[in-house]
Amino acid sequence: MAESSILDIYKLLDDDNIILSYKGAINADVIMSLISILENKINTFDIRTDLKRRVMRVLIECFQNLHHHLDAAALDAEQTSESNALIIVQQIGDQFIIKTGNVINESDLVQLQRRIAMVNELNSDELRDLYRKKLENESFSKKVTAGLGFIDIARKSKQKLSFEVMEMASRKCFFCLNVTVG
Amino acid sequence: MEKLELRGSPKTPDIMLDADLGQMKIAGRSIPENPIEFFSPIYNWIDNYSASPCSETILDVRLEYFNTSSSKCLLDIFKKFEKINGKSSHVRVNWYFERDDDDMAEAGEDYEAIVDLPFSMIEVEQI
Repeated sequence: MAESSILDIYKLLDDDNIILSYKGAINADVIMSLISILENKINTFDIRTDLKRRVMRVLIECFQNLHHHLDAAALDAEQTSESNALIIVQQIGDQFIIKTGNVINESDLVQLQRRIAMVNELNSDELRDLYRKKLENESFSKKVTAGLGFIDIARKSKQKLSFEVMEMASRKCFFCLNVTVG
Repeated sequence: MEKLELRGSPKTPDIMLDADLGQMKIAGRSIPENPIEFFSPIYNWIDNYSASPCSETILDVRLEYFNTSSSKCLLDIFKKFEKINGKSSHVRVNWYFERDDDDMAEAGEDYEAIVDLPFSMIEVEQI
């Protein structure tokens, strides 16, 4: 890579106030390292304690949710559970934007969109009721955890979930969940 | 019955289970991705304790963070104590949360709504 393009990437990250960017394999250890790096960084910021707490909780859930999705996808494809993903955390004043992206099968997109739309339709009381219902009635499994994940992220971020989808070759697409806390 | 004490880590909470005092304390953060492995010895301890519990059992929960995977495990713990409550022991849950931490207060209320155990919601300056 030419020196100028590295500088371009650096400038882009710097100009956009990216406090963390990661592209690569995801596993439980990587997730914990990223959480720890971000926690140390956010602790130095001059922001309200309750915001710090909320950002950390949403970060943890977003990262682990991403990992569960990658794990489930790898199991379906009988591949290794370590897959490539993209994580970007941006700080704009008192707002934190958490982006987690990964490649998914086009065939899984509709279901994913439906689950996000279902969560986005609910107000905070309805989200709370759904969370309680799922927590109480469904047995523990990775799938249920992922199901609770979106609800929990929406509850704690207090914002609607948004996402971007980019088409790729071979009936795949890049799916990116964008969560704002602030 | 032996005490069960587990020291916390960046992803698992401090645990103190004392059958002589009828006390269970869980404190810190619980964010492992697969918490069952961590919680299994705790489930076993509670099952053994339930065979002959103290007349009063107190559960102190002082959590800073917990992930959704751990939320199910916490519920399983409460469900185990629910079985003995009002029969062989009077169980009480002290749910601690930091001032301004509405999410943690709400989490306690969620459990209070789901399980049939008396909860005391206790606001503190620092967890």
